[in-house]
Amino acid sequence: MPISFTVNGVAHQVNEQLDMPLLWYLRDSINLKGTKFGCGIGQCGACTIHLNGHAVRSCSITLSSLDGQQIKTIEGLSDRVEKAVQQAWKEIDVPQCGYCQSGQIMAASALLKQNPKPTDEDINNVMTNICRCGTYVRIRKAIHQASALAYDVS
Amino acid sequence: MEISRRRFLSLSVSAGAMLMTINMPTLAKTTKQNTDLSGQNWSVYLHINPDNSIVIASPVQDMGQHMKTTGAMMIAEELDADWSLVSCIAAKTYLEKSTDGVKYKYADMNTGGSHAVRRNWDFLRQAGATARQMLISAAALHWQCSQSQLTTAQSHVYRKSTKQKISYGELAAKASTLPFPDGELKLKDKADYKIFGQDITTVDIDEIITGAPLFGLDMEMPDMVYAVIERCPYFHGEIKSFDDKKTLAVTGVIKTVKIDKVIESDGIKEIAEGIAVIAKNYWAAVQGRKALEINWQQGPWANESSQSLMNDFEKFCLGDDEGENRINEGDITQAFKDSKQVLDQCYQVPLLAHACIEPFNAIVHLQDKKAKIITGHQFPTRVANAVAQYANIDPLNVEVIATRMGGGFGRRYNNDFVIEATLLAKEIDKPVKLVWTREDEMSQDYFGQSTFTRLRAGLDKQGKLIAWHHRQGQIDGGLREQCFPYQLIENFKVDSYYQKAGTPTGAWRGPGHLQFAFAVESMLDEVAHANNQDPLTHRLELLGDAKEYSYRGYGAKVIDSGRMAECYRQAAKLANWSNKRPKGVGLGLAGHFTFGTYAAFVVEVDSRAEGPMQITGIWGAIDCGLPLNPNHIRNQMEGGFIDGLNVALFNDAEISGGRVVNDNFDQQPWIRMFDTPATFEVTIIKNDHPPTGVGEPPTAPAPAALANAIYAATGKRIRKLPISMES
Ligand code: FES
Ligand code: FES
Repeated sequence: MPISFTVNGVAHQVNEQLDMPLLWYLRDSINLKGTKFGCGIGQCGACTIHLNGHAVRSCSITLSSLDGQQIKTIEGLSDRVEKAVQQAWKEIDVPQCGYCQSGQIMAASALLKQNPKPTDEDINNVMTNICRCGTYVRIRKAIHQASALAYDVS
Repeated sequence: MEISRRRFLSLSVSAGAMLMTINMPTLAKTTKQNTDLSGQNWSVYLHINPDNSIVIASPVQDMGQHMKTTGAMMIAEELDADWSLVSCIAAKTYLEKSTDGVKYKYADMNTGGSHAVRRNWDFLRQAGATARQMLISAAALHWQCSQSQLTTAQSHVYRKSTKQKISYGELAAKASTLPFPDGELKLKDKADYKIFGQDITTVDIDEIITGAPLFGLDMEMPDMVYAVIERCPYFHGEIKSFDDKKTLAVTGVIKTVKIDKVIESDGIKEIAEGIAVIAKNYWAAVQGRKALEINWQQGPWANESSQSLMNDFEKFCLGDDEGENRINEGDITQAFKDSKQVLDQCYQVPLLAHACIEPFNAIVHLQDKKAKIITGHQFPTRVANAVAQYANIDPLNVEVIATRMGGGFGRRYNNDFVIEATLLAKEIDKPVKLVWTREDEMSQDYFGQSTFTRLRAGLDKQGKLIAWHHRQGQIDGGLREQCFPYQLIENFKVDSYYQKAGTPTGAWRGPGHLQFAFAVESMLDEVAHANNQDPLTHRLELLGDAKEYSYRGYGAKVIDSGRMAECYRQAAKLANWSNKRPKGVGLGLAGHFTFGTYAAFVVEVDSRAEGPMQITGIWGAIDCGLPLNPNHIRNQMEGGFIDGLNVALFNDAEISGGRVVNDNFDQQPWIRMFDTPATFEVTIIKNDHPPTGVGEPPTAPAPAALANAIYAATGKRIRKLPISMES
């Protein structure tokens, strides 16, 4: 039975290597390199994508479980909140090495859709991705800024 | 200035000037790939297009220390460029023969030891100034006027008398045909800086926030295959026997390759023994690796553990045997006899993992005695030399495509992944992409040194420090005994002990500085409290009058007590140090001098609530000479210190039975958002000293600042890392 799902709105069908984590399908099969590999065990969050709108670690879900699901990667960010997050990341100039940041942006944009005005404590609870470079101070600021950009009427 | 000017001129002449190029219609403004422009032009790092846009190939590697941005700023500032017209690409690696392999033909691309700013400061500014001078010459020809009438600003040349202006883009074609300027090259006065001192954004920001391919792991070569390696977990261990039948049966697996270990003459592992699996994609290679059956021979270090190493160091520190003498000034024996009070304490730092977030990888293609390698590495010349050695080809036939790195921290100095990929490329006539897993990265690390430090401090009647004996055991590497309090205390001795070991160690972000600062800045705090003195006042008294002392360690010629004192003062001021906190809340102070840069921090700890203590605020001050990009200095202050806090709280690579035990983030916890406070403020001390690096200096003070804050909050003194925040 082939497995069908969409990635950034594009239909995909797979019928081999179904035990492969989505991460490697994205990176190596369809050449979307924005989703990063950091640990492979669901710990670091570098591989975060949106699965039906929720932040999920793509190293820890296999292709076999994706039938009928909608996947969005960093390359597919497009709506108002997602753009606001990218904009805030740029304005605050969050990155150091930058490697973890697509995962951070995916986690932050999912957070802001569920919780338009997260408190510092909300951010602590939800933003569990590792930034090896330690840019947490700026990630926090950028989330507050993105919230303002996306939701404050000017 | 004179010497570097000459070096620059001779380099430029011999290399064919390397500064400016023109008319590059094919080079889109957004190109981010390493583009070789040297063949078509006489310049390699700077390109001015007819539409006045500028492309700078920033020659220094970026691993998160922001140097790709800073290097481009150095060229652009002296060019008097409009920064908004500048875009940046990664520079190609230009090599030439040296006595022992290859060296850089033009700029030094290496990064490590916080040297990239220091080494490129004169060179890259002069590159920009030379180009500017040639654009002025071209404008003088264009207007048939004397150069003295002309000025530049924002990528234009201006003619005062007629109020005319012309863009660099219009002049570049002409300028590039003019002779190299001979007279004195005038660099800008500080007052004229337009780019330095501004908050400049990371040059790769658009790629990072959109997930565009930037890192080695994102790269591909046509028709490439993938490889992973199952390595011997035991230090210097071997393969007794193996069976790869099941591996070869996995769909997609192409072949297996046995890799022999290479141990260098100094006993340090170059590569581990293992079996590589080459497959048509990464996941197939991983499945093939899982199916391998290997019997390991444990090797000579099977009894080694983190604890056994620490015991060895401790035995030395607590014993009476003289270690390697590093400093012995004054009369230490007599001074301790004369002391009215002696503090004698030991401090421990465990082995430190690097955990570079992008696991190591390299793509190598060997063909016709030529090699092409794509990898993220701190020292591209080392890559070329290693590929050449293991492929047995001329290093000038190695093309190194150096990518942005997902972290380095000193670990991307080592060549193990480069050598492995090279060996595998010899086994198949296709490009091979070697990918390490997190477990590989953690179990095959070259750890930051674990240290056991015993400090004895002798005080006279007035509480003044008159004797200081620092004894330290570790596997390898230097101490940082040239840092303060050396030269501030009359009778001063440092001796050290090295324990031969199988555990591989190497450079870890400011090697030796964090271990040194944890011991010294904790002891200074203990001395202050023993004297009933405010820790800030105590440090300022110890530093005394502002004075430059000579420094014989790596990375600096002098160390200035006044600049160090000012960092302590400014950090304290920012933290509102003199404002007494409620009982259960404490402030801790620590500072350190790393590779020419001074930094000090105050940490606030709150122990009042049930459950673990909280870090509630961090305030830091840095003196890195003339601040080039305050935005990135602050970013490094934040991230570097948080990395130091990660050492204080979590980083603890555990060795047992001659192998690594904790090999992923489930067993080696790492600092996360909820461990870091929302309050983090930074002061950058403005001054005119030449700029120095900021990638390493913010890290070293962190563990002592936290331990000192915990003492202030709870009265509990912590002398061993990692620290538990459970009160
Ligand atoms: S790679 Fe998926 S969580 Fe780390
Ligand atoms: S920016 Fe380097 S890991 Fe987050």
